[in-house]
Amino acid sequence: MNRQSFLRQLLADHVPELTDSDGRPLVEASLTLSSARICAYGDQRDGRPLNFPALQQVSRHWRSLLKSVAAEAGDGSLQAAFRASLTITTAPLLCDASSPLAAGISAGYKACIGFSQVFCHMLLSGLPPSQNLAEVASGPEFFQWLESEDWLLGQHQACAGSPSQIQELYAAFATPQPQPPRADHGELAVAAVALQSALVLATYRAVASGEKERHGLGYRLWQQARWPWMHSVTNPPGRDPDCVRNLFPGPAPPSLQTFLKEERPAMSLDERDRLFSALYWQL
Amino acid sequence: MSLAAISLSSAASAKSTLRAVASARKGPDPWITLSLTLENSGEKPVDVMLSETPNKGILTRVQAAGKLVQFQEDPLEERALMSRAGPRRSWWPVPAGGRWQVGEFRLQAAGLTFPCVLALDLDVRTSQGVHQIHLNDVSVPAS
Repeated sequence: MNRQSFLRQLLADHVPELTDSDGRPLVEASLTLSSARICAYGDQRDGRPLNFPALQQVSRHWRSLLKSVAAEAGDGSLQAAFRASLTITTAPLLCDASSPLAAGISAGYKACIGFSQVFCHMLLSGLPPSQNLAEVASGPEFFQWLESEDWLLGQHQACAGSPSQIQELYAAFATPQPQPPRADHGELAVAAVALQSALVLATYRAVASGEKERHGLGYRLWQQARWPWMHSVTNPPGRDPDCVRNLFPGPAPPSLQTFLKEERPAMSLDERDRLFSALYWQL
Repeated sequence: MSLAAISLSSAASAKSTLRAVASARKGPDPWITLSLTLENSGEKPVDVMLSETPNKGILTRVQAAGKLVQFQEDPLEERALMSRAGPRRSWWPVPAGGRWQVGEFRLQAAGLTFPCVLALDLDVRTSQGVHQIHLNDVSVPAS
């Protein structure tokens, strides 16, 4: 793994526009009416369009996807689930962009982006990172909560995963495994996203306090970055940057500790960005 | 803390300190361009989310001379902030005593004569819930 390249891609504004070996885009942003199906799962999504071809692709790779999640699930804790979902979602960044992305990796991205948002939100909201996911909620409880919080509804389409698929994947994240996570980029991804999250929350707080400037890295990450795992950082609003510590089961990495210690509400956006950059590229 | 205890929005209600300010101008036929700003007169920041209503944004209804006016576009900023799937998650803090320029909306003004006066309905989602704001007397000059 080229750490600098990986970190650089994690800071980019967009997920790369890759095409996979099935001929489908990695980022399924081009849903057309001809390819959409109207949802009839018998839940709140009924009557809304969903991306049927993407669902078919994920379903084709379902067994290998469950194995991939099991390989990354670690001790089955909430934090391990976040790390595992982030590991699978960021896997396309490590692939050679000059050739088609393996469809299995693409399917993993599509199946896990929502989980990475939800697990991030659960951790930033204060749920214990070391708690086993199965103790946090059963599969049916988790699905019911997703519905009650509107996680399955988008502006233009609904989450395409069936209730049973969502619960089966959740169970895979929640099942402790005897072996440690397999991929070596998961830990770096969590550290990078944590530092980015701290910067975004500090920038949000500065604007809430009257900061008038509208530029810089923290502002761009908050307002323009399309990485799905960043979507839930500022939602709900008003989170303190310190809550990012909860993305880790033990002490936060030194880089995050330094950022949280040295960052001040009165800093300018540029000063905050410089502090972030000095720490980020040393991850 | 349990899963049931964490939510994307607070159920607590609080008196809104937000007010909307709008100005409008006649654009290239058949458009009106409406600029919308939210002002926070309170002593604490208020977090605002643009839309609960797909494809409509913060603005839910516009009338001119008692007739509904069609609006065609949300602010560019809104489209940039929203993801296609998953709940919309872009909050913006309006500082205490500060203002937030929401953006510009394009209204289809075919059949209207100018000058005219618009009446607007807005749904503004804050962390305390959805606030409905009504604005009368938004003037659109003849030129």
